[in-house]
Amino acid sequence: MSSAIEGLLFSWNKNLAYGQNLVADLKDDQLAKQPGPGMNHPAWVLSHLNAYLPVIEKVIKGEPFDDPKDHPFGMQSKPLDKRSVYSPKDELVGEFVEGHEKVAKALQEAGDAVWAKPITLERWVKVMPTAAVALPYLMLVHENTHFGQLSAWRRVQGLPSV
Amino acid sequence: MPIDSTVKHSLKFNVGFLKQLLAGIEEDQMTHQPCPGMNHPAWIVGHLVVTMGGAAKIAGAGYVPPEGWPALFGKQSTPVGEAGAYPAKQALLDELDKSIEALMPVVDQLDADALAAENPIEGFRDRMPTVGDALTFIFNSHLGLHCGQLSAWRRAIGLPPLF
Repeated sequence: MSSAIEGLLFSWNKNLAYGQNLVADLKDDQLAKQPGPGMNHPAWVLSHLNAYLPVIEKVIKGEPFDDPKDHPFGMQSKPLDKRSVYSPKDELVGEFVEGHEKVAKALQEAGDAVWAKPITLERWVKVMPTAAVALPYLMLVHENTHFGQLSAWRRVQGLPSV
Repeated sequence: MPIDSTVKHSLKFNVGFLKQLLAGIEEDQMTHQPCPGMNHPAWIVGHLVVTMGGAAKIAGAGYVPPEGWPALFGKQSTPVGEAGAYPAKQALLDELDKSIEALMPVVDQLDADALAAENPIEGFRDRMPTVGDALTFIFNSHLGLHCGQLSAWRRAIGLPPLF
């Protein structure tokens, strides 16, 4: 395995642990709380990130995928403070873990051939033409930006930092 | 080729996003804490500069953050809501640009062997064993995380979402 893939997987596995830690001490009924108007809460963030996990797996495999912006929890959706809109915590976390593991396995199996895989979604091609550009963004930047929102969401409510 | 995407492209994206998040934020808002202990923009930008100092050490670049900044913005520091305690917004952003300008030519030269080399910062090595692990984490995950904190800070003070 190349050092670039190792580096990507290293941070990806950190994300797997960090994402779970950010919600580990939360009760299910806290997950859709919005301490400030429009703030992204854990239920939406996990639902949103989970929507991207199969997309990342398909990018690695060079397979076509539906535009995640059209997903019910895609970028056009707004977080709602109605808990029942989202799956229970156990399911959200379980899907996050399982999806992360599938992506890691796919990347390990793909090897360096993965970098040249073309992105099939027209909307992304201009900014992320290949997996070499898309994967670091999708796997690390995107996930961590939303983790940062969760980190701040915790502090706004006086919860300890993780 | 991978260094372009795993390190440089994401760094460029993250810094661009950070500047978008800060556009329109007034000087007196830079240290505003909508709740106790929340990381405010001044601390976040200074913290990223200090982290670039760490990245420079790892990559073998010559950049060193200004004197006093590691204590003010390091991992063990606590953000305080006093404007006078921090450099001005433009000074913070200029220093961030300076750190990246110093780093990039060196990062450009890193090949697979350099990325696989042991992380030279001993206290950081147990968590980030190689140069590649550390730089990938710093430029993607760490920067992205603090952009996310800034995004949530904006919403906490009633500003519209950008992301």
